[in-house]
Amino acid sequence: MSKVLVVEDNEMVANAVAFKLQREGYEVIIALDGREAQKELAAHQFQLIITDIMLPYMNGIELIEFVKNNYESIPIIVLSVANQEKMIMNAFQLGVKDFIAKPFNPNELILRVKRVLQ
Amino acid sequence: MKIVSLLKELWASFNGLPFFVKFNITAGLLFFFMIVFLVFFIVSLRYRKLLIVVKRKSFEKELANMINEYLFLDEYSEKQRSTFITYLKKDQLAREVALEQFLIFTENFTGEYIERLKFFFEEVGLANYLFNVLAKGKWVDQVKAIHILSELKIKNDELMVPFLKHKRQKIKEQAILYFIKTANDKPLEFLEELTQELTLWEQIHIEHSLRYSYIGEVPNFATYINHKLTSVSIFNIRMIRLFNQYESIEQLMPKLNEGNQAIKKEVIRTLTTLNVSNALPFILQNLKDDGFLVQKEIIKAISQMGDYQMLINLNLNLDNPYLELAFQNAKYNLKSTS
Repeated sequence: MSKVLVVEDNEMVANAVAFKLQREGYEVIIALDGREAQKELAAHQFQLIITDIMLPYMNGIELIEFVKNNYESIPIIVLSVANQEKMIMNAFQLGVKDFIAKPFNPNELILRVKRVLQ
Repeated sequence: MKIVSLLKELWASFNGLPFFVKFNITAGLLFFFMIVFLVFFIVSLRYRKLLIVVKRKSFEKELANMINEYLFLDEYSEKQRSTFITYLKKDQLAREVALEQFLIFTENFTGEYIERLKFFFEEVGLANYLFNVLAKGKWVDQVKAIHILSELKIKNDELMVPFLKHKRQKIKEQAILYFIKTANDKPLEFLEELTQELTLWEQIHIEHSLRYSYIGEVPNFATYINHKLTSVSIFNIRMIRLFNQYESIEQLMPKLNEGNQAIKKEVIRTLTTLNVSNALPFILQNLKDDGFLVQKEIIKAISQMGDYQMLINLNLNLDNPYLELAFQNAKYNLKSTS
């Protein structure tokens, strides 16, 4: 069973994503900010990270940089609003696998998760 | 008995004290009890707030879980549904939390999930609850209710029309946005119902909603250029310009004979932006009777679509410094391009 880290500051959205992923058979851990995500990364072995860009304490870009420097093999999907073009470009330059714009369709998210994990 | 006699003794010795000492003791005691009361009051307020936070957290968790189950589980039983409804009936806080959550879900999800959310929202009676708020609630709650209904695209135009004529600006503004956000086509049909002029902010909100919230076909703004309200007419003429509706030029031309100078100015500006150079003779036909603002607009029109000679032949009275500035500017532009 693949373990997924969902980093999202809106608890409700994070829970909804986790709920849907769990229904599809993934093990999910939620982090509500970048620092919490760092702690979870140290404590577990993840196969995928789904992260928002606008996060408290440590934004999504900083988190992606941290992951690329320390856990290079973990693929990342960015789940964020589409109006942060510069940040999204930065994220792709850092090597994220995919980008999903909010508002999003949870079914599409699952398809993309499956594709990235293949 | 001992305490009673002690108190009597105290009272007797208190009575024997000089006045200023008695006054000091009384004031000190009063102050002490006031402090004690204030501390108790603050602590109880804090405690009450804490209880609400805890209760809200628990509602948030329970309700979010229920919505998730409804959205993502294939089977959702009648029992689960009635549990949700019972939860909402519990108290006002549960309904408030549920409304917030529906809004967050709507903002973040698309596709079939939005339709499911909307269906669920109506099914558990929250739509009816908001309709009741609209009928009898306070105006601040009515504003919130209209906002939620428009975000969830729950239609009840009949109920909403009176709010377009509401004396409170905020309610009118939300009602306007409601009609645009919930429209599948003809998003400006509500304009027919308006009885008060549109404020500048309302015009900004309408334009913004048309661009970013409304997903249907762009409306034909020319339909409303003869509206009884000047602001509505001007707004639609401006939209013809901003949305490049060249097909409306024919309907704009008769508006050049308009007596209302603000409307005429907007028409000239639109024709100029759309570069309708053959409109120039019609633009110039009442030049002498036009006011300063229209004359300034005419100079700009000639600067863009006319020539140097046309500008000189205007023979305008350039007493107004702003008009003269516009004239000299146009003269310079035309001279340098000729």
